Amino acid sequence: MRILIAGVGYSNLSDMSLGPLLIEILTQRAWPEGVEIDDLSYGPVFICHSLGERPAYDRIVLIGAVSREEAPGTIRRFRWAHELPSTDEIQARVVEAATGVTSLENLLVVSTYFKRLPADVVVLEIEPFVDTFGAALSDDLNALLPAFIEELTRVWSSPDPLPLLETYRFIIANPADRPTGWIIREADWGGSN
Amino acid sequence: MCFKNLPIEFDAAGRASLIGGAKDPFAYQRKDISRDEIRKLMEQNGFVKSMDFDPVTRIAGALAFHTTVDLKQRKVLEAASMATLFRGYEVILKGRDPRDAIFISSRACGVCGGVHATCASLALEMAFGIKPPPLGIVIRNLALSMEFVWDNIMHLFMLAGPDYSEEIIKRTDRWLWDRATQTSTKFEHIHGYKNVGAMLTDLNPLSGKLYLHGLELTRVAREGYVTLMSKYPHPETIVPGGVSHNVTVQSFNIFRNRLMKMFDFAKTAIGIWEEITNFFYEANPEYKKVGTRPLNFADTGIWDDPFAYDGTYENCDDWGERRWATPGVIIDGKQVTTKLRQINLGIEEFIEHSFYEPWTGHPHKTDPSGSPLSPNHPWNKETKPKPEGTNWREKYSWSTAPRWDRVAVETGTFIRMWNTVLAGKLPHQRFLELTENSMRITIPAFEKPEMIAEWKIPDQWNAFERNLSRAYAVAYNAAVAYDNWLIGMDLLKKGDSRVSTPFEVPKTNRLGVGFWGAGRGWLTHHIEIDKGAIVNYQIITPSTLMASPMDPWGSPGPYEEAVLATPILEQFEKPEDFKGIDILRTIRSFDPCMPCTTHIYAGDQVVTQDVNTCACGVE
Repeated sequence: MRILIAGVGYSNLSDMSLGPLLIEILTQRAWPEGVEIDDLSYGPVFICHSLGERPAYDRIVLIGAVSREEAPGTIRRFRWAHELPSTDEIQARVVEAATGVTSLENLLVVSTYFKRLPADVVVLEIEPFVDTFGAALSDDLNALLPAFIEELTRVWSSPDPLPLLETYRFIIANPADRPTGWIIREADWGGSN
Repeated sequence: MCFKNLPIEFDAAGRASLIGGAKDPFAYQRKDISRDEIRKLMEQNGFVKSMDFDPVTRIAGALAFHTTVDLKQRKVLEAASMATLFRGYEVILKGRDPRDAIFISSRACGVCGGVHATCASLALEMAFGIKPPPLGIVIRNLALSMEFVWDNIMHLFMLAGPDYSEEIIKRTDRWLWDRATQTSTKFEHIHGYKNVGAMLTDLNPLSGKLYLHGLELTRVAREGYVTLMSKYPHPETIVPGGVSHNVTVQSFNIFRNRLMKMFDFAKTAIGIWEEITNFFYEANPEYKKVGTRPLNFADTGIWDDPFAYDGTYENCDDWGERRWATPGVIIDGKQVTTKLRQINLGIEEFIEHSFYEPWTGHPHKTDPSGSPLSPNHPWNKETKPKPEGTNWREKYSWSTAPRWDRVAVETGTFIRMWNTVLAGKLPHQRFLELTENSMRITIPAFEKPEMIAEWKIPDQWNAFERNLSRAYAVAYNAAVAYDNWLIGMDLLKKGDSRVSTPFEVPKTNRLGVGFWGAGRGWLTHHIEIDKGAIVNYQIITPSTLMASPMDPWGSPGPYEEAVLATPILEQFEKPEDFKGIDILRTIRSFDPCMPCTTHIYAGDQVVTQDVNTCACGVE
């Protein structure tokens, strides 16, 4: 089974840089054969090019920090629904991607459109404590890292796709394009506080 | 005499001094523009509409544009360009180790990080008193020209290209699409299309063959780039005095393989954009007025001669003129200087209509050669952000208003060709030949045969000519890369594989400036260091120059000038059907790149925001 664990986020933005910073930590560890660790903190069009060069993955786990106006430290786990918005919206996301915007949502939309993702895609994200300029994670988030990594381990090592707790859908720029009934939320989130 | 408005004159030996007599020679009187007339028109006339494009889509980063349009007269009455995010890098860099400037300023843009890193290294080389060995300069030239190739292709086929596609034309000007389907092409021998309509279909976003091919080629170009710079978009191998990694004949050959593919696509791109331009001009000659503005241009030049560049301010006029792109300023169509020192003296930044507080200091009365410097010059400027409400008469942008000799100037990848042709000084003519009004570019054979493309200084200047010239610039960039590749191979064959030079960070007070360029033109980084730390750091990007708001005299910035001069040609029956395609074509023709930071800095508070605020723009 080929598994990719990848971080996504801008550098130098304190907790918002969880993706690239955690990948630095994870690459120092030993991983079983078939598990790859990568930093996908760059334009999703370029990521599509890179994924297109690799043998297909069976599972991709994307990690990062995202502000969703929940309590700081909340850990969320989503399954990507592989549903796409209108073509105008996809084009807007491709342009953002090509012009350097780094974001989990763009990555999911663009790489789905270009058919670069396996069916089993999980997003593991955390609500940041601090989103100001800074090269390191906040102490609060650092304290939560063991819980986050534990949840990450549970996700990537599960022999089958986990019963997913929430279906991840992107946030799009034009609310008029947003389909209704998006969020499928269930109880018992692993690792939230 | 290159200045008409600044109080600086030059003697016969070219030494600059202040024109005598004035007590406060750089002082100026702010002139406010009344909006009463516009308000009255809007109240009285249902056809005078306010239209906001927020964000302007298919550009890099965050730009919004406010217009007031008279739909009956088909005129733009008011235009305001708004950079909606603040790039806090100048503030972040203060007090840091000067070497951090390379890596931090690179993050100012998600597309052209390499140009910021390189520009920062040039500024540091001047401040440190060092220069790279020839191969280090060649590698910078190679990587950056490849970056521009992909940047220009991306603009032509993914950003601006869709404005001319079947999909968009059908939405805005159905008659034009009908005409396209019945029009035979003139340049089939170059691009392979028999019918204009078929070509415009292939420009459709997401599905068009040209769109998808352009997207794929961005990968090939980046592969070439990372072969020499190891990482994109933020290379970590650029250091003061060169690059930090070795290159081999093998890595050079990988680069060449990618480069040759670009030559073939450059031929196609020129044919496509010649076709589009001709088609629109013949369909309606009024398209020649879309995006027109005065012929006022500035560029700092780029691509150093590896055997001439010494990194000093003292000699920058000489090494500047040895570049593959000659530095220069053109005012009213006439080149007024090609000297980097004069270009540097002429630049000022104003903040009357920007979200900043004024600064009061004037620490550097002169540049390092003793020439007078304005208090508004970047070496004297302080970045003092002050967010507040938007007001078209007062403050409405995070962009400052840079002016050269107090004139709004346009820059761009094609302004490099324009300056180089007018100057007639190009020392590197292996693939480039100059005539009085043109540049002939030899595009080598790869899968397609060799082609000589001739870019001529256009008779008119507008949105179409910008895009067409950018297509020629793909060939120009690639030709410069190939010339440098041959020089680099020669150095490697001779055994001169040095790529960097040792240095120490000086502890004394020093000034430096990086004169470089982005895919979109002018780029300068001004630095002051003292006691081993950055005292002041100021960046002027091409989009700061062109997206600028009004200056203190009420004169619009280049985007604003061009939109104000644009006739409304779009067909619509009711005002609510108006989509603003002519305005959008104008703005996008500049290839706006509002550097992609996601920080807003407000005193001690930094807020992270999404790049796009909403999607009420027209698509």
